[in-house]
Amino acid sequence: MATPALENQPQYLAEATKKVKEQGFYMKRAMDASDLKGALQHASDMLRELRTSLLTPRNYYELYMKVLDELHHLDDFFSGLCASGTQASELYEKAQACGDVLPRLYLLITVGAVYIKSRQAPAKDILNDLVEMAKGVQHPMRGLFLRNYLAQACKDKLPDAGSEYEGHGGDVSDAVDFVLQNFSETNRLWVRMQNQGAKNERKRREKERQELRILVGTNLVRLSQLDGVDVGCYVETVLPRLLEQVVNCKDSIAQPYLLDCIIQVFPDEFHLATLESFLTTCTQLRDKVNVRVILEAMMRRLASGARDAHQDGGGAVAAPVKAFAAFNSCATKLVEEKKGAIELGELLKLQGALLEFAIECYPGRLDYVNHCFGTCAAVLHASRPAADGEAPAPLDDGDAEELERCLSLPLGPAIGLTGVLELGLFGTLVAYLPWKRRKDVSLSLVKCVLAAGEPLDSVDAVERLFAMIAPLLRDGGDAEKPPGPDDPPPPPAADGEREQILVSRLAHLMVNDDTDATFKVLGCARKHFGQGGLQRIKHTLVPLVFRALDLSRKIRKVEAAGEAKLQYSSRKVFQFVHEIVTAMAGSFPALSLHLFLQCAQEADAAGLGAIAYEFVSQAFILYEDELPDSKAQLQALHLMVGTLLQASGFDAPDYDALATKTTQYAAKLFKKPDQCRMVATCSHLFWSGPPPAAPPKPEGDLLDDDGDDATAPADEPAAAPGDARRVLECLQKSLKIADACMTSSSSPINLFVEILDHYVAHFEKKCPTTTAKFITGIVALINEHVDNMENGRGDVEAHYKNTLARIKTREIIALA
Amino acid sequence: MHRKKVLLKVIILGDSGVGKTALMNQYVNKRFSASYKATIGADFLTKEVMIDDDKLVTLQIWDTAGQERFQSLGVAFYRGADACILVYDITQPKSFDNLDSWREEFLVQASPPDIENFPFIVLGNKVDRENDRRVSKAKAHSWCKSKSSAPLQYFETSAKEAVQVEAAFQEAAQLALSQENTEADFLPETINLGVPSAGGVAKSSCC
Repeated sequence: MATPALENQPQYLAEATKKVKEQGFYMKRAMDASDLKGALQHASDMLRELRTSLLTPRNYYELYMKVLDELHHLDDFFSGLCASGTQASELYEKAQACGDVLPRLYLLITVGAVYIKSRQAPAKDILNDLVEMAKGVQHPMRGLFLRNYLAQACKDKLPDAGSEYEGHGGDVSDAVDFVLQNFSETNRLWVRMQNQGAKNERKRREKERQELRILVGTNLVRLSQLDGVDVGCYVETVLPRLLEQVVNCKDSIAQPYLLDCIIQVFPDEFHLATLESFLTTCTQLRDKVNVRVILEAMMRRLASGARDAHQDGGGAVAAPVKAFAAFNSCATKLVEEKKGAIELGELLKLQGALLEFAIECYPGRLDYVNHCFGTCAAVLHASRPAADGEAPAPLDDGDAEELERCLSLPLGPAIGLTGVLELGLFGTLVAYLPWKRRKDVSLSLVKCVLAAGEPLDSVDAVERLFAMIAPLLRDGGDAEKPPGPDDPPPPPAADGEREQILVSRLAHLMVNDDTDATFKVLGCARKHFGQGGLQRIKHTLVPLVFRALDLSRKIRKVEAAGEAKLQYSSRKVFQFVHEIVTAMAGSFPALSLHLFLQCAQEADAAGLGAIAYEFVSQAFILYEDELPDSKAQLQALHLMVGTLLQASGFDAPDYDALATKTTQYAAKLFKKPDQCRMVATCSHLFWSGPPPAAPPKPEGDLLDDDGDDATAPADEPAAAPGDARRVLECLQKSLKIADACMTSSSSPINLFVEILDHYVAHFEKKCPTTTAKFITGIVALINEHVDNMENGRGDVEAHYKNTLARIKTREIIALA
Repeated sequence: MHRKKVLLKVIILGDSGVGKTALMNQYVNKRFSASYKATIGADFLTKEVMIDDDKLVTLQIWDTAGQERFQSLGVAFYRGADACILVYDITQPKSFDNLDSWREEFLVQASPPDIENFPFIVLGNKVDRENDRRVSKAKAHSWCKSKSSAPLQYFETSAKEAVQVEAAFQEAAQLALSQENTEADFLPETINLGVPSAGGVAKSSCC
C-alpha cells in the first residue's frame, strides 16, 4: 500500500475535489438533459477520483462525502426515471457497463437502491448481489468506504420487520444476514490492513486503522436499528455471529473496539440477556487486549441504565440481578488464566470497577463490597507476601492510588456508621497504603460517619471505628521508616489541624440514653485519643470534656429522679474530666485553666462545692506555675473573676480565699495599666449588688471581719451584705496604680475614667463605702486632667462625657 | 424537474446521551425508544417538509456521534450545512456548558460563508423530566442571547413525549432555507477541458 505523502495532502484533496465538482456538474447537466448515458459517464469519471491512493483516511473521507452529495442527485435522477417507466433492471444493466471496478460498484449500489425501491425485484436478491459484488474491491481503504456506502444507501431498503420491503422482499433474517455479511467483510478488510505494507510503518498504519474504525462500527449501528432484531434474535443470531467474528479475527485492535461498539450500540436488556456469553468472549481475547476496560465499559453502561430506570420509577430494565456474580466470576477467571500477565494496578482497577458497579446497582449490598475488598486483599497479599508482623513492600504510587480509590468508593452518603463498621477488611487494605494516603482515606471515612450522624453509642463501635481510622489517631511515621530516638515527629501542618478537628467532632456522636453506656464510650474514646500525642489531644480531648460535662447534667437529672440505679455518678464523671484536664495541663496550661474553670462552674451548678473548689484550685496552680505570659495571665484572670462571680456553692472561707488570691494576682500583673484595670475589676468580687428581698447566702457568709454589717437590715444600703471595705481598698489601690502610670508626657486619664465607672457601678449597687464624696473627688481629678489633656484623646473624652451623662440622667449624685 | 427540489442539510450536535438520535427519530419516524444506543460516525435521515405553505424542501438531517471516539474520521459532513441544531439535556448542566465548544467546533470545521449569521437553533431536551431539571430556562435564554445580535431560537423539547419537536425542526428548516448554502456549485467557465489534470486520476493506482 502506497503511503500518502502528508505534506501534499491539501493539494491532492483540492485537485480531487475540483474533479468531483466538475464531473458532478456535467453529470447534473446531463441529467437535466435526460441524457442517461452522459450522466453515467460523468458519474463514473467523478467516482474514479475515489480510486486515489494519495489521501489519508480523513481526507479520503472528506472527498467521499463530496461524492456522496453528488450521488444523492443521481439517486433522484434514477428514481425519476423508474417512476416514469424505465425498468430498474435496465438501469442495473447499464451501470455494469462502466469499465472500472470501483466506479461501477458505486453506480451499481446507487441503482440497486433504486431498484429495491421500485420493488421490481425482491430486496433480498439485490442486497445479496450487491454485498457479493462488493468483494471485487479488496483494497482496504477503498473497500471500507465502498461498503460504508452500500450500508448507507440500503439502510432504509432492508426487509426488516414492519418495513415495506418485508414479505416479497425477504424477512428480517435476510436483513440481518445482509448487514452481518457486510460487517464481516468490512472487518476483514480492516484487520487485513494491519499486515500490509512495510514493517517500519506499523505505527502509522495502526493510526490509520484507528481512524477508519468507525466504518466498521457503523455496521453494528445498522444492526441495532433493525426493528426485527428483538432480544430473541439478538441472543440466537446476532450476538453469536458478532462474537465469533470478534474472537476469530484475532486482532488486538479490532477486538476491544468491536466489543466497545457492541456495548454502546445495543440496549441494556440485550446485554442482560447475553451477559454470560459476552463475558466468556472477554476471556478469549488476545493477550494484548485490556479486558478490564471492556468489562468496565459494560458495567458502567448497565449501572447507568439501572440508575435511569430507578429515576423513572420502574423503567424498562430490570435490576441486573445476577450481573454482579457474572462480572465477578469473569474477573476471577481472568486472574486465574492470566496469572502474572496482569499487573497489580489493572487488577485493582478491575476491582474498583466492580465496586462501583455493585455500589451503583445494589445499594446496601455490603457483602459485595466486602467480597471485592477480599479479592483486593488476596491480590495484594499474593503480590507482596510479608512475614507476620512485617510490613509488606510498599505499593508504587499508581497502585496505591487505585487501592485508595477502591477504599473510598463505598464511603458515600448512604453507608452510614453501621455500614462502615461492616467493612471488615478496610483496615487490612489501608495498611498497604503509604502513610499520607492512609490518612486521606481514613479522613474520608470520618467525614462519611460525621455526615451520616448515626450515634457512636457503644464501646464496641468506638473500638472498631477507631481501629479503622488509626492513622489519624497516632503518629505513623514508623510504618515507613522507623524514627530514630532523636527523630521527633514532624509538627503537623495546617491540614493536620483540620484533620484533628474533624476527628474531634466524632465526640459529638457519642450519645446514648443510658448514661452508664455513654460514660464507658467516653472512657474508651479518651483511652485512644489520649495516646495521640500533644498535637492531637489539644483538639480531641477538649470535646470529650464538654461531652462529659453534658453527661454529668444528665446523670444529675436521673439521680434527682432517684429511679434508676447508676453505676457511674456525676461525681465519677467529674473525676474523669479532672483526669483528662490534668493530663493536658502541663502542655496546654491556658487551655487547661479554661477547662478547669468550666468544670468548676458545672460542679458548682451541681451543688458539689468541694469539687468546684478543687477545680478552681487547680486553675490557680496552673496560673501560678505554668502560664507563659502576661497576656495569658490577663485572660485567665478575667475567666477567674467570671467564674467566681457565677459560683454560688463555695463555702465562705473558700470563696474569700479565692477572691483574695485573685486580687493579689491582679495586683501582680506585669503591666501597670493591666494591674490597674484588673484590680478595679476584682472589686466586684467583694460586692455583688443590692440585696434582693432575701439576702443571698454565700455573699453573707463571706463577711468574716465585718460581721456587723451582715446583720444589718437588707433595705439599708450601709448594711448590705458584702465586704464593702475591700471594695474600696481595691478601687483606691487601682487609683494609686493609675496615678503611678502618670508620666511627663501623658496622663492616664482613660484609667481614671474607667475607675470612675467602677465607683459609679458600686454606688448604684449601693455599696456603702463608695460614697458620693469619692465620685465627686474623681470627677474633679479627671476635670483637672482634661484641661491639660493633649489633643487626639477624643475617645477618652467621649467615654468621660458618657459617664457624666449617666451620672446625671440617673440622678446618681449631683455634680457641680 | 428532479433537480428543482431544494435539499437542505441540517446537522444535530451535542453531548453523548442528550437525545440527538431520539429527536431525529421522533421527528422523522414519530417513534421513541427509551434505551440508549450510541451513534457511531454520522448518519442522516431525510424528510420532505412544506415551508410557508408552498415550498416543498427535502430536509437531510444529520445525526452525529456525541462521543469523540466514535468520530475518528473527523467531521467532514459538517461542510455544506444550512443550519445546525445544538442539543443539551436539561438534567445535565455539563451538556449545556459544552454547547459553546460544539458551536465553535462547528463554525471552525464547517466554515460557513457567513459565520456571524449562520443559523443555529438550541434545544433543551428531556423536559419530560422536569423534576430533575438542573439548567434553568433563563440560563438557556441568556446563552442564546449572548451568541449573536438576534438571539438564537430556543426550544424546550421532549423527544419522548414529542413536545416541541415538530416546531423545532420546522424552524430549523425555515432558517436553513433562508440561508441556503450556495458555495458548492462548480463554475464550468473556469475549466479548460483540454488539459488533463495533474492530480487525482493520473496518479491513482488500480483496485
